[in-house]
Amino acid sequence: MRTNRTDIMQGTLELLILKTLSREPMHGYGIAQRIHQTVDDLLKVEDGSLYPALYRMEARGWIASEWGASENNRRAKFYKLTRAGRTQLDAQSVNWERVSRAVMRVLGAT
Amino acid sequence: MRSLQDLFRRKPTIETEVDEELTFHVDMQTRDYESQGISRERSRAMAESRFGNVSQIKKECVRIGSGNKFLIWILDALFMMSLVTGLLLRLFGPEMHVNRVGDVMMMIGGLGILLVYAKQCGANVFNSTSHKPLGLNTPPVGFDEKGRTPFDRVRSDD
Repeated sequence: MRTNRTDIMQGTLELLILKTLSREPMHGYGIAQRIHQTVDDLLKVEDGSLYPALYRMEARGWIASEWGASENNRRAKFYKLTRAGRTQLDAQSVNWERVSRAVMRVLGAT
Repeated sequence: MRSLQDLFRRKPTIETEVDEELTFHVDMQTRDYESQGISRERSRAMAESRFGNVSQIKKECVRIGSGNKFLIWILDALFMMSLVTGLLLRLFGPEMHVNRVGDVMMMIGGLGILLVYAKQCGANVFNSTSHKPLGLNTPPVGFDEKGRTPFDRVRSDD
């Protein structure tokens, strides 16, 4: 297990959720698993912090939810990206690229 | 037909929904740890610890979720009031112009209630392809065509 994990930056979690849901609808546990697998434990994402973010994003209309059956046939709440969410994902991705490029430029300056 | 059933079914409270959702998460994580050969009690403890402060998270989710439902409740109440007032004016209005005001109010109320319910049903309707298996055992999905996360892209730019 890695020990040098970095706390996730504010606002980044929403981008990670949007991107994860852009592939397919998922329940909260599935989203958490997928994010953990993808970031390979480099980032510290507490599972519970996902849910307030999901509820906030649903209130903003970026995602929609529906109860369905999970892979082990239990009732689970599935989330999917809405059209507004897809627009938001594009905007946030562009912004993230710009910010990260700017920060790297500053860090790389001699 | 399904939407009609949903309309008349007693809706669970936001607290119950949040509780069920968070319990599902912790149960799934427990099951995952158990499948790795860890004892049931230890798995449960690890899953709860990994999740964080359940009661605080639940409270936060209920607060956010209630805000949305409260707005819908207010809209429903306003349109219902318009419908009832319109109906009363239409039935007991002494003059023609009062009856017409009643008609307009009934129309606004009725259409408003229909729109609120249509919006609620529409927001929750998934197409039939959405209930796919989650594929949790498949390899992780990258964030771009090369499988890199935004963080990898930053590192590779370095």
